[in-house]
Amino acid sequence: MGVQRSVTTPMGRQQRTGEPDSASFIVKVLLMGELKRLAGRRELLLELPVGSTVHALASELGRVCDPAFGRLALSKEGDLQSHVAVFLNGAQLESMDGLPAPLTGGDIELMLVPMYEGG
Amino acid sequence: MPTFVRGRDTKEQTVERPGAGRRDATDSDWVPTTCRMCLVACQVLVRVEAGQVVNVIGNPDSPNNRGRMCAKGKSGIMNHYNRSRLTRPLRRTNPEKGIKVDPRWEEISWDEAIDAITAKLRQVVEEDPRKLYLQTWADQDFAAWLGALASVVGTPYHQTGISGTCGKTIHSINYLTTGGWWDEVDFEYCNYLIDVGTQQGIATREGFNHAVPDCATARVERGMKLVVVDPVGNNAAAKADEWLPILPGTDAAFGLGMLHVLLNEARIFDAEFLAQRTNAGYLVGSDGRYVRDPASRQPLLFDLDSGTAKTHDDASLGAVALEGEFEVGGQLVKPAFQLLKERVAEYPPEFVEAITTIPASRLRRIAREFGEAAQIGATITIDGVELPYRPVCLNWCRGPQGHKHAWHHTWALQLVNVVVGCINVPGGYQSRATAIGWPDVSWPAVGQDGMMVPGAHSGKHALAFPGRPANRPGRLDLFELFPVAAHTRTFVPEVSKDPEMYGLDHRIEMLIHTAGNQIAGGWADVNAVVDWYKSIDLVVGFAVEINETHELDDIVLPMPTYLESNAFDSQDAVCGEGVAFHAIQQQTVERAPGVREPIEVMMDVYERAGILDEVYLVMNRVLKLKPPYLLETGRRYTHQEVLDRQAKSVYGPEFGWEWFKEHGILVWARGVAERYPGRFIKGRIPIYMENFVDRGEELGVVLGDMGLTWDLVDYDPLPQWIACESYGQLERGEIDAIGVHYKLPYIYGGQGNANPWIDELCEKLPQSYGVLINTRLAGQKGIKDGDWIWLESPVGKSRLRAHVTECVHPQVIGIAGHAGHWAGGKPLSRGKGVNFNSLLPYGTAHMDTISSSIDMCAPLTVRRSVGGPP
Repeated sequence: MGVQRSVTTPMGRQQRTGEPDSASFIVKVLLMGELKRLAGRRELLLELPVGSTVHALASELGRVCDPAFGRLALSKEGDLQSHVAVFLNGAQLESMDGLPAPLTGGDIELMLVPMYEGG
Repeated sequence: MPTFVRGRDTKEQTVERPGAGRRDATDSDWVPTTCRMCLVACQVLVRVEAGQVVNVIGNPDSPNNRGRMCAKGKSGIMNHYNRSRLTRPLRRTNPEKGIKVDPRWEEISWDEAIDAITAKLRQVVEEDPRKLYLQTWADQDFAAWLGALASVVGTPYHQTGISGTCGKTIHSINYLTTGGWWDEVDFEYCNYLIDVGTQQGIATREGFNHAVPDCATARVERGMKLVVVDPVGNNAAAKADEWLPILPGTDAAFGLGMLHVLLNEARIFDAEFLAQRTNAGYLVGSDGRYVRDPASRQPLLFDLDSGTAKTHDDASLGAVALEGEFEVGGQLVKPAFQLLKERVAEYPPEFVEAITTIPASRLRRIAREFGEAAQIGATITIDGVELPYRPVCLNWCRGPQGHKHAWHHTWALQLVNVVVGCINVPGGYQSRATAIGWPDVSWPAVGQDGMMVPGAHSGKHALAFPGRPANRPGRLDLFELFPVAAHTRTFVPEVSKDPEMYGLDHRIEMLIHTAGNQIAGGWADVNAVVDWYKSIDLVVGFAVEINETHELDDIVLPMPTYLESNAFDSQDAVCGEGVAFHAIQQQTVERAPGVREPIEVMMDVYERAGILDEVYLVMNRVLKLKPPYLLETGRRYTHQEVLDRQAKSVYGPEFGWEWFKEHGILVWARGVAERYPGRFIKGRIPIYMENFVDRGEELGVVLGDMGLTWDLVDYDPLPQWIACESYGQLERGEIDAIGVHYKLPYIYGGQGNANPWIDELCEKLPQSYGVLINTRLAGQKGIKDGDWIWLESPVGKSRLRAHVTECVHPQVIGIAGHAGHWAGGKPLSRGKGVNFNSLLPYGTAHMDTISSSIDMCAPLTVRRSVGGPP
């Protein structure tokens, strides 16, 4: 289980509470759109065990954020909903196939992008 | 770098090629761009002489329209050279807002306009970003830039269509069954097409300018049969082999009747496909839920070879039971397919006839013809790859979707395609975008319970499976109360009347919208939508001319026509074709003085609001920009500089914006698997929406906590027919007819017939401004062809000229296009025809509890009017 190392709200200030041990790594999570409002913060740092996936990150977010965040962004099983775009170091994970892949640190952005209706 | 192909692998051109392709004729002044007179977005060549547009023709290099274009596109010239063109920002001085109320515009500078917008934006974002509502249209570039504002400030309200009603179940069901966003018929191989509530292949829809010739070719060369099921004898019905007039709001019954004949009478279904590629074999218990393996929690199927239940992903799974009843874990269970068979058995053609008015014998014959034409078991080899061959398609669209119980109408129809296995295979029901992309092709994956999960190719869409747990709403669109809907913005005007009723403590205070016409053509009851607009402090609209929506704006900003605009748009492909493409839109002539590019205007707003760098952060992701083309903080870019970075990031440095301006379109080859991805996808398609059981129960609890009483009968895993309110009103004799809207090939949305060329067409084609009334109903009412009549609904009344005809269902009034304009900025179209939405009731009672689709049945009384035109 990951440990929340620090929180910044809503933009800018960061506070690290310590360095991760060798069995874990730190990811910076940036929440955009309605996710920011529901989580009550724009950025947070999470410490996750080495080998964690985006699935694991999603579960951890569900744990540390306001429940309203989870109700919009996560399924009952704790997976990210289809309308949440995930960017890993600036590149979008093109499908949910990318989510089980182990993370190796870096910046994670979860972004709500428009849900297109049509014309 | 993509391999640029041109002229090969695309279908043979069927028209003259006067433009030839700009790169081969450097002395030519034909400029390649993309038409934006409707959503179809055909590629065109624009002839420019002495700085003036003198002609627009179809671009023969485009797989999308292959050199063709339509009346709407041609009329773009007159939209551009428009006497009512707006060229200065305007600000309302009359605080009173309403229909036909003069805004008393005053001209203001761009600086003043941007300052006023920025000030209000700062205020609402600081107080509560949910006070901001954004609405864009087909211009995907602008949608992205305005969407970035939503991402940065945190408002959930970004409507990406003119009408919040668009794509309600169309996209949801396409994602579920095809893995893609939008469907087409594979005219290359289809032999039997049923159009239900759509005119695809004849008059309307995506890919219009290639679908029409392809449909004609299929009929002439292969004898493809076309059956049209529609209340109105429209253009498609007029050209069909058979037209089946159907009572509005009964499409589910038609689909269920088709399924009954196929599954229970003729026993025609693709058992192999159903067993291997759908959840038809998943075992369902008496509680409506899957029977699951106790250890893995994966759904179980019954393996006929071993006589035991196995999980869907068990490698030893043999022949799957689709029918019958089995004992598993001490309880009697049935495969989902068995349950579907039992459900559709409730809809024999004789019963369906009583609902739809379609004779049982015709339904039975057509269902059998369709099933036999499917040639289940047949294969075809294309480019050396053997594929299933299912040359049939039941194509449906806005007609069946526009009802109170939209999900069940459209789900029942789509299951006709699923049971014969014609999804994404040659001859069948195709998605344009199941597998698409450059440099990487985005493919559907396998998700929860083995079901298909669409790739991320066309924006992120909220999906019907698995859906979301219901919750108390925090949004005016009640998204949290629609756990399987894609989007629910149809509710915003309704909920805005009394947010507290839903526990909401905010209202929309600022709205920014594009040149669409939401008042005339979005939502329903125009007065209800106007009331919402009136309640908003600051409405900002981008406009080419002042339409009905702009008359309620507080600030109007002049924007370019498509002939003056630049956009990178997105990758696309035509179903079945051996190529994909990326076409751009570019400025062909100097902009009218005073007109500014909306994206650059919004950049000004973002800069003054101090959020431009954050917008860049979002845009770098959304536009897929890569180093060294990332937008850098602290810098300002022109729109064209951004386009160049976008093009080079996606296609490499050789394919920058200048390359696209020169060529207009990039075309590349794609393989058989991308063209016909059906059997290459591992995820399964649902025929049984098991998740509806839990989502419905959870919703019931939340509604109970809120003290709301909603009928949740629609949360049924299997399709059923439930009547619209107007159906009952008609049956009880409370109304004379159901008014329905149908489309004309020369009008798009609420913005067409102000154009002089389109208006001329409408004047010459009398159904455009009149209404269709059946001979029988006209006789009962003493109405003769050409008489003026009154149509009255609970929310409005209109006086129109009647066209007495057999080409409309006897209990239906057919209302075409979008007319009945009243805006001062649309002088040519003012007072002509009827605005359909003015007759359409609106409110929770008229919306689908699954999808939030609005019921498009207008309950009407009809009477002859004395006297001539008003």
